[in-house]
Amino acid sequence: MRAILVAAVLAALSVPLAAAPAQLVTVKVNGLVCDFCARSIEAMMKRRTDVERVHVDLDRGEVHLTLRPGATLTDPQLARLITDSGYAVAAITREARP
Amino acid sequence: MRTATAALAAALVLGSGPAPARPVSWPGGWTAIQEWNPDMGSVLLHYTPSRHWSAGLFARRMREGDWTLTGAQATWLVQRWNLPAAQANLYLTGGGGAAWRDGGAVRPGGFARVQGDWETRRLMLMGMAEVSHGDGIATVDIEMLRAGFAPWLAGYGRVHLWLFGQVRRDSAAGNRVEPAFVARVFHRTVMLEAGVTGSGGLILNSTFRF
Repeated sequence: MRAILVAAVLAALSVPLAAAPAQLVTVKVNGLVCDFCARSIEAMMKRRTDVERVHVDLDRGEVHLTLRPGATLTDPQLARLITDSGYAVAAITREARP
Repeated sequence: MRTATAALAAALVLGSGPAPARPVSWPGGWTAIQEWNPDMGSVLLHYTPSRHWSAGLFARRMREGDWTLTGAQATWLVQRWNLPAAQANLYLTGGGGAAWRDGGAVRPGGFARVQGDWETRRLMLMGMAEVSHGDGIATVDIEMLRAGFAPWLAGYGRVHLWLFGQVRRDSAAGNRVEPAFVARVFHRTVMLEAGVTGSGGLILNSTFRF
């Protein structure tokens, strides 16, 4: 009975995780004018296992991140990563990927 | 010491002065910078522990005065201004170590530099002032101003081109103010510069980040 209960709890926990969609995050960044320098953002983001993809849009001054399903990267953590990369965060928006 | 000077000079030619590229990288990042111009050649390898500063080892050959300076240096990002469509930086750099004139005794030496820049995606301004000192050897001050533009706005990950006009004064070169034209190309984490001075001297700089 105990094993069944444990299995049921684990299954209940795993279903939301497995079903959680990936997230698209757009970070509006001030100071983002140079490709050579913006490499710092890519280098910092790639240290995170929950970041699947990084794209920098110099024209819009935005960083686009694709987070893996179940990612735990919070807005404060994200802002800290951008700040440590040498930039200032103006805004963060998130949307679920269908 | 002559052998060491010759070896260093060879390394500088193959590979490097005042750094034109950003002297602080990302936390945990390494940067190798090489510079070569009619007055000076230099190499620098530095590590960036935090976004505020970097530290590394440098060697420079003062070509006008025929002396060499090598040692350790640190750069402090005093202030960065991140604006919606521009960025500006102010850096202080200091270094100390050994200096020697060709065939002479090794003496203590060092340098100090202040450097600032402002750039948008299209325009860039940069200024630098530096003093280098070798005890009983020489004291040299150098000032440089650069202004440039990008002929086209390349996207992230593409090849970027910048064209600069530059003026540089070196006290070791008779306080002559030397104009120069410099082209900068960079792709991802590799930056190359090539230029020519008003008197036909060659400028070759490179920066690698990893």
